[in-house]
Amino acid sequence: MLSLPPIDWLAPKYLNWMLWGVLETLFLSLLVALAATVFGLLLAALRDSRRRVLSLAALAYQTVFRNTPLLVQLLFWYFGASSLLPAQAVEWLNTPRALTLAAGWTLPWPSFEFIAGLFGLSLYSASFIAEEIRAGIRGVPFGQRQAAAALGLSGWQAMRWVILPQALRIALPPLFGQYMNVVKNTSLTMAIGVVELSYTSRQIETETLKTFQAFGVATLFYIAIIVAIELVLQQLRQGRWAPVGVGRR
Amino acid sequence: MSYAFDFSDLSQYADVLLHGVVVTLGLTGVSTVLGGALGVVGAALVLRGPAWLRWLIAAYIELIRNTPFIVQLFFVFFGLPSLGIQMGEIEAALLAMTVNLAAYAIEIVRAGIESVKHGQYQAALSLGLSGRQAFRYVVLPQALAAVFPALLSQVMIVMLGSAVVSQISVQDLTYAANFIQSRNFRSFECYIAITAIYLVMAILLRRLCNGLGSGLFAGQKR
Repeated sequence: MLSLPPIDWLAPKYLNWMLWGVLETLFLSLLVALAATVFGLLLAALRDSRRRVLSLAALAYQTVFRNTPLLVQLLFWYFGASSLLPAQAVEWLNTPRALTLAAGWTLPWPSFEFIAGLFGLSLYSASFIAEEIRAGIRGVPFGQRQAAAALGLSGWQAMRWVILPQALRIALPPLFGQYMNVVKNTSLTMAIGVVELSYTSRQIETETLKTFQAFGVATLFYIAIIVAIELVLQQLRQGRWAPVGVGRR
Repeated sequence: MSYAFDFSDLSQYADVLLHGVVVTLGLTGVSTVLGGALGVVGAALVLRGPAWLRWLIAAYIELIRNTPFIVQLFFVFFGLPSLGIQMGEIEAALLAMTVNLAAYAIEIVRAGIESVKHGQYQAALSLGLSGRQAFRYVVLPQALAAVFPALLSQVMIVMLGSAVVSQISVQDLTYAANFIQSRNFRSFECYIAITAIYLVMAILLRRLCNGLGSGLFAGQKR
């Protein structure tokens, strides 16, 4: 008769740590998704630019960022690039400080680890997001562009009001796939000391030796976040909230 | 900016770097073979197996695809020993990489098998092949030819993702970078060099496998 040891749950204190880790993961993912989408749009525009220099530069950027490990990129930004900064700048970045807002509210200044992680993840993710956006733009029939031109819209206006809304609708599922990747990829910032979900679960594992509970809870949180993103995507596709007409048909 | 770049120092660590390259490529190679084989078996089971097994495989795929690789690696490396399964860091890395790749490979191969027209299978049966033979000699080659590019990109993702195993002190290429920069304090040059090595490896490997693929599946172009 196989007797399983009684399940030994994590103390509330540790679940509390874990929740802070979840918040950090969510916050970092959100910022990365925003920054990478903006930069990804720019990269997509550069890739399809008529100037060869620009499109080649964007292609080279994508080749380097997509074909090297994210972990090495993060280590590079944290250890490598910071060694190029003047000593005063590094000291300034490493000094804890708080932004004082109105009415006595203070916002803790992000750590240097967080900034390096945000920067590295955004540059990496943008190289993938740009490709999804380009695919979306290519998916819009050429007649739409001609029709917009015939109606007297300039190239930029046609892009902003006709092409891009349709392209984003097409690119929405793969874009959200990339956002899910962003969430999973934030786990690598633990290697440079960002206290996110993976970091806290590892910390709890080290302190309690409850390996399965620690990593199990982290796994559940990651799955919950991914499922939440999937639900948002479904809502958007059904056109529930359609701020820019992305979901409307 | 007053920083003096100096890459010359790296040459004395050539053997460390080479060892890292060999470990990274070795881990990738072995997990590709094992993960690919599991992918084919898993895909066949998903399409033909009993319901409970399909459900189990689907759960496994969702679990792996929706969690970060580093957590999977920690589960294997720190978790399995607490169940009494002892293994070194290389074995743990191999197991985690294989389990990870297999989940994606099952999905890819399954899509490939579904893309092969059912008439092919029926034609094979009418020629007197058994169901197993029809799958092995008619359906599978066409399916693999169709999804070879997707499988290859997944393998590249696994190779680049393998940098993470340095976190459980497997002495791969990223570990070598961390080791060298902790010795000579030239972190900028060191990580640039490592990035370049990964880039070259990725591009060459992709070329090589593409060539291999078009040779292997020469008769399968549809």
